[in-house]
Amino acid sequence: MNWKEEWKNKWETQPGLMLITIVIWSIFIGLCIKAGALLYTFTYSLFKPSVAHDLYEGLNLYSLLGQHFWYYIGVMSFLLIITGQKAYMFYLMILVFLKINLVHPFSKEVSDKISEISHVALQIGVTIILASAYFKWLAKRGFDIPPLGGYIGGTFEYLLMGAIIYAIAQVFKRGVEIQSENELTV
Amino acid sequence: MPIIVNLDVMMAKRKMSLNELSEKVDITLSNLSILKTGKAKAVRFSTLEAICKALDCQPGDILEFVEK
Repeated sequence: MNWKEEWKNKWETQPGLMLITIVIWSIFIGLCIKAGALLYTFTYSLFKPSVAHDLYEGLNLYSLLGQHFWYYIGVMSFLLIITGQKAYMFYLMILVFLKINLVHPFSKEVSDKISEISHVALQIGVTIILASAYFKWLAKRGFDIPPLGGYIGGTFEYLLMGAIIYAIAQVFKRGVEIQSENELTV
Repeated sequence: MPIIVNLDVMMAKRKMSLNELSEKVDITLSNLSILKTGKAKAVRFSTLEAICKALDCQPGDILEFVEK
């Protein structure tokens, strides 16, 4: 079956899942654009500091760049890592949604990807905790740093998501075993 | 697995082919092959009953426990 027929078949059998796949695709593309724009303006700002006035959607780190170059690199690295991790998580979600087959829903491939999503979500949560602590530490030391909560997202949302997806991954793993047992029952 | 399936032995004794058995017990060839090669994880009583009827034997003639 070629990919056109496969897509047509999937739209007929699981339209809800395919709709969500498209939403996830849009979020993934948005996050890639954000990561790309941040990386571009960050690199550009290293050569032309005035670019740091508006790095992405009004993100102004010009005064921090003027105060301490390496702390500016640190803040931007955190922002880039978190955005990159989020994009990667959505990429994994796309893979999961494209591989889900409702006739044989429990496959090892999907189970592994769900486990990986939970690990990435937990990693994002931990990175956001580290980034927040770093931003607070900078603010305490008198560096001019704008509120960056909107750019990195909430810690507990990702930790909660990671924990829930981890639980689902474990249930899915058991589902794979049960399905394999069922398929090998004569 | 310590449970050995001696289906091929019984089939040879009764001079019955896999195709013939498959038709008699109404099980697909692939499923019978899974059972014959010892890959099966479980056997339904109804399947066992049908195989015993077709091969005129007891469940113990087909399944054997060998401690490893």
